[in-house]
Amino acid sequence: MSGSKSRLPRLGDLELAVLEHLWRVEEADVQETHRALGRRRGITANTIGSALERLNKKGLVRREKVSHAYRYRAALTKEAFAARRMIDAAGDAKMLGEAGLLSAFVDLVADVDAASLDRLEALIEKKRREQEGE
Amino acid sequence: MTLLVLCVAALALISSGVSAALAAALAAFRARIDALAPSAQARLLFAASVAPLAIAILILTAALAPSFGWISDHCYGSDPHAHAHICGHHVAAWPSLFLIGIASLVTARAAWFVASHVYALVRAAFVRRALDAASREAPETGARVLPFAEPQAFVLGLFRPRLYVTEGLARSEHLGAVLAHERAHVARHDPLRRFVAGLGLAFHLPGVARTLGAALARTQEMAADDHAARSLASRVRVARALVALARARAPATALAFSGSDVPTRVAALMDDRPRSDRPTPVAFAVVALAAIVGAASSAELIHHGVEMLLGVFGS
Repeated sequence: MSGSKSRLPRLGDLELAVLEHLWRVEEADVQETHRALGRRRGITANTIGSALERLNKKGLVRREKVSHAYRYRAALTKEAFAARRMIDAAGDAKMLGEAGLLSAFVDLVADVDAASLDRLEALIEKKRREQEGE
Repeated sequence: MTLLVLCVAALALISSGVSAALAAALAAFRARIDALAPSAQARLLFAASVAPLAIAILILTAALAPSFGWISDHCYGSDPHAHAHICGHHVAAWPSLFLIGIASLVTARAAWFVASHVYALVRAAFVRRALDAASREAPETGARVLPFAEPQAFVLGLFRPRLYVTEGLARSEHLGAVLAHERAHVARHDPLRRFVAGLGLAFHLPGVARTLGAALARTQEMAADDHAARSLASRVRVARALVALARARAPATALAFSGSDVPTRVAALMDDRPRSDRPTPVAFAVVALAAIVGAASSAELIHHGVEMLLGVFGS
């Protein structure tokens, strides 16, 4: 992942579906993508084409002209995309946490140093041995 | 319009008074509250969070009773210009600048709280979609699994919060303990309670609101730990999971969420003395009902009381 601080652009459902398709097949043109997604959704190849065009503008796909049609591939791997999404989501985490909408198992903002973790572990082990001794 | 300003001003005065009184009471009984089970503490803090608004609304409703023709009207006996006059039939004199000021302040603050909560809801829906796109379903756990090595888990949402764990946690021995904790949040409706309490905090004094909000978040975590420990029949397992996940924290992590305090929680888990889970939810319901009956039966008194209160602050 690059150190880029810019947020991922917002994606509509269709753009996301197109991107998912590209991750599955690695590379596709408008017609192929339409065959895979368009029929089921009842949309035209043009709509798929403009979704790909928008993804291209947003920098999420790369394209290359092969004989008269563009062939598209995802610019980020699925994992890198997910990671970027998570970073964006983490930007909201504080706000969501304050509204009560998000709560994590351990607070990863507050740093707990290794020494106090060692102390806690010792405390737990002592307790465990006490219980086993009972 | 003047009636509305008067009512909002009265709401501000009453809720501030209740907030100050609650802060004093919580500080005075700190030791006794800390000795309660975390679930009881969370209940108490939730009630305290919404109390100023609830009490102010109750008192105002009673104070407006003459306007509904519920108790005898005394309009003819009093000069509307002598002191504040809460009555739907007369146009009262404009309240003092002080009352207009606090009415505007409390309105602006409440609007800000509501707006930021609504914004959080919208963002949560967006974040959820992003997470769902990046995760896979793990039916055996009831959670969704995110492709990250760092062990972490969280719940996201309001009414039906969804549970997420990372790949790193799904492979770890601590999965069971962590899932038990997160499921406890869901079973206890913690997100919804925090959300509602957060709105109620708009009617607390600012310092009190911050303290209460943080205390509620902390006790909810401890209550979920407790719940998990009971369902696993092991406090040690939950405590070990806490330390293990805190230790695995990657530096400059992408998964930075707030909401808990590891050393305090481990210490609480290691203290297995029995604690009282009182006051029970029923007790809260009884107190609320008694307050409603009390306010309804002394509406006349409250009506004059509120008018006098407004009078003191110059109306």
